[in-house]
Amino acid sequence: MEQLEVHDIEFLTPKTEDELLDILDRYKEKAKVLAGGSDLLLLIRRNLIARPNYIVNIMEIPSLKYINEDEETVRIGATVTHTEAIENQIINREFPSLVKALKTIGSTQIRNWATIAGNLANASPAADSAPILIALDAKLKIKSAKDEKIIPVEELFVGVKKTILKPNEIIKEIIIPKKRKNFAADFIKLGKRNALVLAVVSAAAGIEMSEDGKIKNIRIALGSVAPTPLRAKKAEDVLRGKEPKMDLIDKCAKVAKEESKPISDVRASAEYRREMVYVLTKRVILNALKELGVNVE
Amino acid sequence: MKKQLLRMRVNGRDVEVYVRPDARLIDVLRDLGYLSVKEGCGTGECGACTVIMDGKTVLSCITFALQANGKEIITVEGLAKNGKLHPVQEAFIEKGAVQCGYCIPGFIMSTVYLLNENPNPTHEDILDALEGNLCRCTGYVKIIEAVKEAASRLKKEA
Repeated sequence: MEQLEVHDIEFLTPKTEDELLDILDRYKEKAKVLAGGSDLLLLIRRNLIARPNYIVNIMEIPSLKYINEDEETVRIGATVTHTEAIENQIINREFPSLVKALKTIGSTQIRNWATIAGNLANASPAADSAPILIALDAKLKIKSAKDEKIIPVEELFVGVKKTILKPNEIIKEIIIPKKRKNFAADFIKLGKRNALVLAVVSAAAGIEMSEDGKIKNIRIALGSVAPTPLRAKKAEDVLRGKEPKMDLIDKCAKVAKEESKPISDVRASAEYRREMVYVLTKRVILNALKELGVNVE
Repeated sequence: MKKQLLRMRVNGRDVEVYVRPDARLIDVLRDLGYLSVKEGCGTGECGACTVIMDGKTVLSCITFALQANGKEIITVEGLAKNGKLHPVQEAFIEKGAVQCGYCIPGFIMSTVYLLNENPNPTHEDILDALEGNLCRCTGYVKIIEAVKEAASRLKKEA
């Protein structure tokens, strides 16, 4: 008779950050961080990841649950859920486009427990919080027992479901620069059903105007059109330092379309996705400019 | 696999039970006899397994049982008070919102949560609140009528 291997799993619920980081440092790849849980449970049950020996629930650590602000930034702690961010006054005041993006993620039940940091750490190409956070120039504080560093959001991702996070590291917080003067951002997600869809394509843009009516800075980020959330830097270059004219915006959106590397899958063909990159990029740029009161000719 | 102690409060009753560390909340609740909690898709997309945990709806099919440790769970079994159905349940019956019935416990819990958070929902608010619940009989029109009826019943009670 075949001998069944007994695989031991222990469910750990550390109460402090130090305890958590010690556990991760000790058990490394044998441990998996659990936040809201919506992704990890399914990954384990479908054998999509190696069964961990330790499931480490981080949701009972009070010091990881916060949204606070100083003069220049807003900081969102690791265990803040989508619902908590959507209902938060600071986030609504500073980043209405982030609220708009978070509302498109999952369903009410998922948003109630899934964390924003967890959505990023899971690194789906369709991670819907990534494009808008990239457009807002957000950074992540990555922490381990011994180390701490800050990286731009776009540098987290290295491939489908792959990040630079080591097994002993967590995303401690998301740091977003506060609304600058003459800055606006927008996000649009295209999907087949409102709830629970993975995006066919999503696009976000953050635009800062200078006093003389030129685009001082622009960040464009796309979701579901490459193995990782994609920053469309060549498209940004088309508009940076220029006056926003319709022909230039059109060119910028075409360059974004060329920069995207979508695949065909059950949700849409690559060709359709590329076309939608053009449409959505143009639309988010125009929406952000409209919010800034800029008339585009 | 060594079982671990789970302490939670279900429908006002303290529960202590040893569970597998990888057990799902839905399985533990059903084993305890809370059979209103239904498994539909098992992947967090259909909402049939929705229960309320510490005041917020959660999908019990993609939640580890031990995530509920120290928390308060409400299922449909916990809604009736003194032998009288909850106004949301009454409204679903009155409006004929139930066809095969499998998805209904999930819809009821999502509706209870919605009306706790927002006693005066617009039509759009209702659509948004129920977007995570699917009815395979596609009886959405009656379900939405029932939610509106429930909102007005709750207001009269208040």
